[in-house]
Amino acid sequence: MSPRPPRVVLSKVGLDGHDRGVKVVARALRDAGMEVIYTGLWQTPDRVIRAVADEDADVLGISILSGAHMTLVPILIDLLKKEGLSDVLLVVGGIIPDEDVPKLLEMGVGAVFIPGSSLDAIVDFIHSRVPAKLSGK
Amino acid sequence: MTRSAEFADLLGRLKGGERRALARLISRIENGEFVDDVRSQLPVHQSNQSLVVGLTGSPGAGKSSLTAALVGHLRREGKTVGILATDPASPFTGGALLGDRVRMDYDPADTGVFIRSFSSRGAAGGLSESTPDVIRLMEAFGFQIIIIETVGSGQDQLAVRDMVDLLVLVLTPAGGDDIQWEKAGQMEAADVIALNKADLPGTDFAVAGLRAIFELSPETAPPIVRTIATKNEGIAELWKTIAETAERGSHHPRFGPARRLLAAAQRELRRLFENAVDRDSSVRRLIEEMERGGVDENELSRRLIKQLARDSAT
Repeated sequence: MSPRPPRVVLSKVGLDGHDRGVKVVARALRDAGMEVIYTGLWQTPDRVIRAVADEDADVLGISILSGAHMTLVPILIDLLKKEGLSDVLLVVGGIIPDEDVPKLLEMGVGAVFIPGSSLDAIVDFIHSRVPAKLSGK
Repeated sequence: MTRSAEFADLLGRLKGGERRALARLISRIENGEFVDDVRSQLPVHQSNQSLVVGLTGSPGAGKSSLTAALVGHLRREGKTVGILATDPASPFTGGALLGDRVRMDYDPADTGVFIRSFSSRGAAGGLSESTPDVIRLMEAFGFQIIIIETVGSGQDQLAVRDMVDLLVLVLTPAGGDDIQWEKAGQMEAADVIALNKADLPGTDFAVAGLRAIFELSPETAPPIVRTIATKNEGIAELWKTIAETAERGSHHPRFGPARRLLAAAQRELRRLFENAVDRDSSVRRLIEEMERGGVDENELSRRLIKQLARDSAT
């Protein structure tokens, strides 16, 4: 039985209307063989988590360029836990100051990809973490 | 937990209304697991409660927007809706951008709506092979309406039609000149036609053109409803037409649940056949006999069928 392609929900949460970056990532993930569900702009945390749950996603990728990451990420992590989705891999991208990266990782974010990150690095990270999860399902 | 115990547990929880179990089981079915269990324990039968509606049309016709508008209407009428939106997978990488969900404005607190994005996973025809099995899961969950949204073109539409009770074809007035309308095959599979973006120029001409196609057999002509999904116009009328068509047609032996039943039986027969060819040594012997010239292909067919009947009786 072949493992299924990783299912990734990509979201932009809050008041952040710049989606060029997240769409580039979406295409890269698709071209790497993943199933990408893009939920669009201006999502509330509730809508994002609903998508992750109903789509049975393996990965949640959040793009935040608004600087609101220290507020939004804890809310998302809390919702994931409440819905029994703590095993979903959380990846954050966008404008994240260096000093916030270790804080995010400590909260439970799997990886943070700031501008300049290679698409290959993002793809490889997901591929390295998701198959291990699949065998546990 | 054994595999069958695991399935029983998930199915029990699904029937009890647990969304998580539904989401997880759909994934397992997509992976090729539990398929036999689903087919044997959730048979397609005439008395099921759900109305399964297929929605197809070219990219850009407005299927997702129309689905979103229909869902809004249905929720206001108090009906629960499950949506399966399929997008094509890349034949080269196997990946897919599943972009239908983004058009749906759902309230996350509203448990009466469930949206699942599907990749065709390389299946010919742009429709995932798991689709009929996932439909059974959603019926078991208890949605009153299930909408299957897929690109589908030509032959693919016939494939969708066999999985649903009723097929809606979404067209737009900008879909081409009068020659386009004459291209049959696409239209004939439709039970209802939604002419979306009906505020564009050429709408009246398009309706006339569509009616002309069915001039020779008006009794089988699908009703045509004008809609403007983005303005929420024509939606109530579209649903009314869908419901009436479903009600009217349900007495035809080849319509709705009967069609699904026959298609499910056909799929099962094909599966049995392929299994027999792959595994049954007596089938191999028959083929060898044919290759040696001892029996021609007509005789081979008859003996194969007898063999299949014997196999399925055991």
